[in-house]
Formats: sequence, C-alpha cells, structure tokens
Amino acid sequence: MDTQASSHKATQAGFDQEFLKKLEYLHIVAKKVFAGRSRADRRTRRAGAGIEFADHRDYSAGDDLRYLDWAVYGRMNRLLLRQFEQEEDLHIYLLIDTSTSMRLGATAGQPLLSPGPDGRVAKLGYAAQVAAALAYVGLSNLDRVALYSFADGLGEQLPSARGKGRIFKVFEFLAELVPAGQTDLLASLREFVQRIKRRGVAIVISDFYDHAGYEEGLNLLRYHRFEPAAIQIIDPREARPTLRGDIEIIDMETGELRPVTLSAALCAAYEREHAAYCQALASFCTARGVGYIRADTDQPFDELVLRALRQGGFVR
Amino acid sequence: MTPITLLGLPAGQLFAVLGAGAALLTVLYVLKQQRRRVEVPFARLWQQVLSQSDATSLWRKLLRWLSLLIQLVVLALLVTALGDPRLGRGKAGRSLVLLIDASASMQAVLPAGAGPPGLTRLGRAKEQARALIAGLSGDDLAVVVALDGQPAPQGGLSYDERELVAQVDAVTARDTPADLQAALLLAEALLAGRESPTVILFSDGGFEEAALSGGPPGLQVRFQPVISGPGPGPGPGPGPAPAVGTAGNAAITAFSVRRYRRNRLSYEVLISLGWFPAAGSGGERQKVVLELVQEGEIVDVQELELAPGVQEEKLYPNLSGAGVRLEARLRLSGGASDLLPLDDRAYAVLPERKRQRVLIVTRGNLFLEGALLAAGAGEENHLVIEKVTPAAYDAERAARSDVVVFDAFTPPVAPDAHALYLDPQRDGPFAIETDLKRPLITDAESAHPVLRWVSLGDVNMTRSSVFKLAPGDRALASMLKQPLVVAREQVGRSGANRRSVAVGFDLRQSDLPLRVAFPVLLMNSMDWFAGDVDDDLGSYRTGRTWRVPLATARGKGGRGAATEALQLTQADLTLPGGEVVAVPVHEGHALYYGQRVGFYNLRPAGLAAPLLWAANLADVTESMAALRPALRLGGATLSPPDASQRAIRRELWPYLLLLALAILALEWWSYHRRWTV
Repeated sequence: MDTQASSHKATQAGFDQEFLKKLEYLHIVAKKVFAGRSRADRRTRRAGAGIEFADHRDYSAGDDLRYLDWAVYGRMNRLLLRQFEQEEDLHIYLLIDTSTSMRLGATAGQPLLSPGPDGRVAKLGYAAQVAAALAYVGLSNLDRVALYSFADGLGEQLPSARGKGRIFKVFEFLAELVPAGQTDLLASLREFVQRIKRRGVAIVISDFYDHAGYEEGLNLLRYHRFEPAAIQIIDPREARPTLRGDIEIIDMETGELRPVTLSAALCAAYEREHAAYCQALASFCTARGVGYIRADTDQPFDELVLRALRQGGFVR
Repeated sequence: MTPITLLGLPAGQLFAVLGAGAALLTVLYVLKQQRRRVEVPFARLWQQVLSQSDATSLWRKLLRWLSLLIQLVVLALLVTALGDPRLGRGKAGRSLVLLIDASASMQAVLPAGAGPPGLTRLGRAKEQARALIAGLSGDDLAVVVALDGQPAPQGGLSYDERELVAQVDAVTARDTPADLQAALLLAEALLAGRESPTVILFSDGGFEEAALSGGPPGLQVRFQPVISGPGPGPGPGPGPAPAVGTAGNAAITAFSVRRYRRNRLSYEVLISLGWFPAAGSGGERQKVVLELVQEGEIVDVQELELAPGVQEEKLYPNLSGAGVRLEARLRLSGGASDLLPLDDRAYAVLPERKRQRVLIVTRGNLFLEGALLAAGAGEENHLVIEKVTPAAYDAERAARSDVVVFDAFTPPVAPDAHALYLDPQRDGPFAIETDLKRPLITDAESAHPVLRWVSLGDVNMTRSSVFKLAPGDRALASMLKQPLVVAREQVGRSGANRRSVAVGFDLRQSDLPLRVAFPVLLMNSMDWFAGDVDDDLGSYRTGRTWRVPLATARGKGGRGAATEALQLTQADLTLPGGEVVAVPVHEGHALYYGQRVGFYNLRPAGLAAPLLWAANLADVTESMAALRPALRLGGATLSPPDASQRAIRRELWPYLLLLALAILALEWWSYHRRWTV
C-alpha cells in the first residue's frame, strides 16, 4: 500500500509508468552489461576480514598475531603480516545540481519533469530522470545509493539505502527538488566529503556553470578518494542560441544584466565559446580519470544512461 | 556649373524642417532603448564573447553613429526634395514651339492600318507630341500652340514635362481652317531672343498653297506628319503619299440660301458638293445621298454621283415655308462613312420675312410707282403698295404701314415707320443746310446695304438739297463732303428701331429714274428697312470673327429694342453643343469668333426674340482632308524633328527620393545583418 502511494506520488512528479518501464528495461540491460562481474561483492583495497589473500606488510606492534605468516618467518626470518581484501558494498552518491541555472527549459506552471511544448524538460528535470535511472540501476545491483542536492552548498539528501524497493523514495526525493541558489561546486563538495566517510562513486549531475570554476570541486572528490564522475546537462538552446536583435541578457543565478545586440556572428562566437567550455570540462575529466558524459536534454535519458553504462565509466 | 533653383518650399523653411527632423532623430538615437530581457544560465560565457567583441566596440559605436548619419542623410535628401530643386538650363537646350494642327481636317479619322480604329489625326498628332515631350532633354524649353483659325499657346513656355503634356491634352479640334502664317508669327514672337528657336509642326499638312509661301526667317520649322507613326522620328521623305485605302471625303463645301429679289417670300438654296478621294485610292465616282431638312423635317432627298475632285452645285429653287432652320445632310450611298463627318452637314437660318406695307405719299410719280412694282409689288409678292396724296396723309395711317415713301412732300413730324424721303422740305426731319445746283455725286458709300450694286457716279440732277447730318446719320452719297443722300437709324416714337433714307433731289429733276440703279436702290432700301441685307442669309463661316447686328432681333412690338441693343455690352450665346457663353456686344453688334458649325442662338438681355444664325465650315481645303507625308514651306521641304535622346530632367526630387530609398534599403539590409548596430 505504501509502495502504491509512492508510485502515485512518483507519477504525479512526472515519473510515470512509461518512465518506470524504461527503468525496468535499463535493469535488464544493466544485468547484461555487467554479466560476469561480481557486483555486490566488491573488494576494497583495505585489508580486512576477507578470505582472499592480498599482500604482506611488515609487522608492527599491536597487529593481530593471527595474521602473522609463520611460513615466511621460518624461511626469511622476517615478521610479515598477511593482508586480505575486505568485501564490502559499493556506495553510489548521486549529487544533483539544483542551482537556478538548472531551471532552464522549464515551462511556467508545469512540473520540472513535465516536457514543455517542444517535448523537452527542464535541465533539472532531465538531471532528475538521469539520477533516477542511475539510482534504479544501482539499487537493482544491490549497491547503496544516496542522493544529494546541491547549489551554493549541500542541500537535501536521501541517505544510502539498497534494494529496488527504495526507488520510490528516490522518486519522491527527486520530485521535490526545486531549483534555487547559485552554483558553488567547491563549497558543496567540500561539505559532501566532510559529511560522507564511506568512499564510493560520486556522480555529479550538473551543468557545471560555476563562476568559481568546477576544477577544485572535482579535484576535492578525487583527493578524498571518491571516484568522481561528471554528467553535464546541457540544453541545446543554451548551446546554440537563436536569439537576434537588441536584448538584455540576465544571468539566472547572479541576476547580472548586460545589454547586447545579438547577431548571427555573435551567436556563433558564443556557440564556439560554449563548446570550448564543455570541451575544457571533458578534457579536465579525461585527464584525471574522471568519467564525463555530456547530456543534451533533447537526447532520450534512457539512451544516455545506457551509453553511460556501456562506456562503463560510472558504475564499476 | 549649373545653378540649382528651389521651386518648392523656401530655403528657410527647409532648414527649419531639417533642423527639427535632425534634432528628433538625434534624440531618438540618444534615448536609451528598452530592450527585451532574456535569461541565460551562465552569463560569463556571454561576457567572454562580448569582451572579444568589445575590442571592436569603438568601431561599433562608430557604426551606431554611422547609422544616425545615414538617417540624417536620408532626412536631408527628403527635405531637399521638398524644396523641389531644379537644375538650371544649360546652353544645349532648345526653344520649341509644338504646333499642333487643330483645324477641321484634323478631325478626320486615320485610314485603316495607320492606327487604332477611330483614331483621329489630331489624336495621332497629340500622341506624337507626347512622345516628343517624353524625349525632350532637361534643357529644352517648350510650349504647345494649337493651330486653328486663331492660333494660341496652351500655356507658358515650360521645362516641365507634365505641364507640357497637359498643354497637349488641352488641344481640341476646331471646326475652322488653320492659319499657319499666324501660327508661325506667334511662334516667332514666343521664341524671340531664345536659344535654338524651333517649331515642330504636327499636322496632316492640309494647308493652302498661300499659307506655305514662307515662314519667319531665323525660325527652324520641322514637320511631323501624322501619317508617319506615333512618335517623332525620321518621317518619309518627299515622294508619293502612302496608300491609305480607298476612303475619301464627301463634303458640303457651300450652303447658301437667298430670297428672290422679285419675291422676298420665296427663296432658293444652293448647295455645293465635293468628293475628295484619299490619296492612293482610285478615281471612281462616288454615289451620295443629299437630304434637305427644314425644321427637322426632310423636304428633299436626292441621290447624286460625284466626280472626284469636282465640285458640283445643286440648286433648290422656289422654296418657301415658315421654318427658319435649314440643314443639308450628305452621306455616302451604301452606309459607308467618309473621312471627315464634320462637313457632311451644313446649316442655314432663313429669317422670317413678312409682307411690307408701303404707303406712298405723292402727287403722282410714275417713276416711283413703276420701280416699286418692279421691286416686288403685287398680290403674291412681298410689297403691298398704298398711295395717298399729301393732303390725305395721316400720321396714324402712316404708323400702320411698314414703310412710308414721301415724294416731294415732307410731314412736319416723322412717321413712326421706316421712311424714304424724296426731295424733303426744309422743315422736315432731315435738316437741310443749303441747295446745290447741278451737283455731281463724288462720293458714295457703296458698302452700305442701300447702295449695294448701285452706281450714282454719273447721275445728273438739276438741283439737290445738302443735308446737315445729325448724330447717327450716314452720308450715302455726297458731293465734296456735302451729303446729298443720307441714311438714318433711330428709335421711333413707339420705341422700335426706325430707319429712313433721304434723297436730296427730285426724281423728276434727275435722270436717276431712268437708270437701272433706281429700282435697285428702292429694293435695297426696302430690304434694309425689312432687316434683310444679305443675299446669303443666315449662315457664317467658321474661323472668322462674326459681327452680328442685334437690331435684327426684332421682337413683336419691340419698343426700345434698338436703343437697348446699342446700350448692351454683353449677351448670352448658346453654342451648337448647348453650351452658353457670354459674348461682348459693341455698338449694337455681338462679337464672336466662330469655331463650331451648327446653329447659334443669341439671347440679348431685354430683347424679346432671340437671334438665330448658323455657321458652316465652307472650306474646300479642309474638306479635301489632304494627308501629306511631307510639306514644303517657302520652297524648302521641311525636315522631320530630330530623334531626341532622353537626358536627365531638371526635376531633381525623383532622383533624391530614389537615392533616399536606396540608402534606406541599404541601411535596412545592413541593420538586419547587424553591420550597422
């Protein structure tokens, strides 16, 4: 009954039956993609209570004497401690940008997940769909999935949980996201790494429009031994503007005004600048082993998720 | 450098408009534009782009001011156009008189194949003139003159194409011959002292040889024949006229009506007809039908056969009737139409003539009675003679007569009737100054109706009274300025016009009664008293100034009519087309230059009966409707007008407007390509 109510809520939020069918499909596909790989029994590098030998290290005072390798001591006269790989669950953290810039593409009076007259959803709605899909895949594979919203700081969170039954909680969480605030990736991720002690995959779903830059934020995740990945949500209208004439542009986040007369040449220059910005993000991620995917909102999200899964950069 | 003249708004107003417009434009440019706001997710990217474009911001600012400059230039062009600037005249310009023949023959339709059906020669000439005007250069000064019986410019000399075309449009055909010599003199006067004076004659070439004897020296005359084509250009050279079909023109070239001298109540009609085949057509005889119409009713129809180029006369004798309007109609047999319908009809008015009651006061004069008998006395004739002795003379009886003849008797008071005094006494109406013995008549007013066809030069007489002329008297015959025969016209006691003639000698003491001149003198006197002074009655020729006596407009019992006629200065004249015009009246005569054939009706104010007369073309040259491809003037063949090349007009406003539109279009194009913003 509770599940039914959540399903109804999710439907109201835009996660309709069609969406759920797509998720089921993703689940099946994900199973095929990850066939042969042990998903729930991931081995960490941490020495622990596992049964599979990993390495030796020098004995130090206080170590558990049960793990001393007496055979090596007999041959080499050295006290070496046997280490085993510890088996534990994978933590997947989905960090969703809810800054004001993610409102782009929203239709006034309509939920963010609802498509507009042109069939496209707002950037935040698209990000929510992608996050829901990834969460469903993760939950289906017995990973622990947690969701966080962020803008100028870490916002709402859905704590880690496992099992497919949690997906409706995910839907509820995503449906209640409201775009607000200015993007501060560094502050948000700093707060995230300080709060989260269990390392895992941190997938940042954002447009990465941070006036302070995205580099330090992503690096922070790396430095704290998360496995970061970036999904950049782009509305084609912002990538290739078709505006012309005398207008006054206003920054959605800062409210900054600037008069401008848009010509075809100027729009082309902007298009190049935007592509360069995205390319810089992609290069940054690639150079540092951070998974990167650009997601245009006119692209079906299931296609995007499948591509992400197939590329294998996000879920290992 | 060619000076520029402003014909529109004055320079002061132009500068004011320009200043106000420029200020308004500048204010509009300076005012901050309200821009549409558009949200962007990441303005930093735009700033980077704009910072690159800001490198050219100075250029962009310049472009913005360039845009303002363009607007100001456009404004200046428009304001200058309001001033209607004109280029001054260069030295290359010609001075032209476009002489468009508007005579009667130009109403002839062009032969088939020479133009659209029904197009008249005048229509073609006007087309040619318009084409020539369209090809005039901006330096050419021209005026259009309508060539009819009274050539007159249709406007002033002008450089303006529209005005010249309007002048061409104003030319209308007249039912008159053309006076080419007067037109050339007028052209010479119009072009006197101007550069390259040239006359271009648009005509069918139908002029009398006398009119082509020569033109004013120093005036270049070109001839554009109507037959050559719609536009000016090299016309056909001298040679045979082109074939123009088989049509020709049948014409009534004369229509005369006259009363019989013996019986003024009857009249005869003489109609002269001609058939003028078109050039190139055969010389066959043409069958025509001639109708004579009196007051709208056909009184005679005859079918005739006319030889080409030969005028045939048709006489209708012994006609009588109460009607006064006569009309002759001519048409081709078989229903065909000829070239010029104008001369297919001729009109005449036969004034009403009543019997004249003549009272002779005499002791007996066989010469007088015999002459009156010859002049028309008799039961069926127009004179009714009554004779009384001087002792039986009664003024009332005289007043009942139309004419009283006093033979060697003079009443103390003139009768209220027309009167003929033969040897009047001293105390009569005619004052006698002296007597002359055996005088000789040295001067005679042969132009007076009373003395028409009368010769008094060798009349012998024993004695004669010399009259003292009163105001209004005319000496018809005199000896060395001493009047012996006097005519008087005055208002009688009844107020009607009264005419009288006084002969200063006794018929019995003269050999005048033995001469043919005597009965003629009597007949003339009776006719003058009756108001009939012409043998050719009731019609005038067009192309002349008519001097129509109003005194003949006698009403019944028209008291004071003569006096009023003399006092009139204006009268209303109804033209053949029904239009009413005011005509001047001078010394009892209405003056009018006749341009249309048909019936005219003059209604002088205060006179009871209107005056009716008719007008006819009666011009063989016009009726011939000659169509000449070349013309010789003064022995030299006139060359066609030069094929002119259209040059820049002096009116600059169309060019300014076009330039402004071009600049605006360029600015619009560049704006939408974001070049000037």
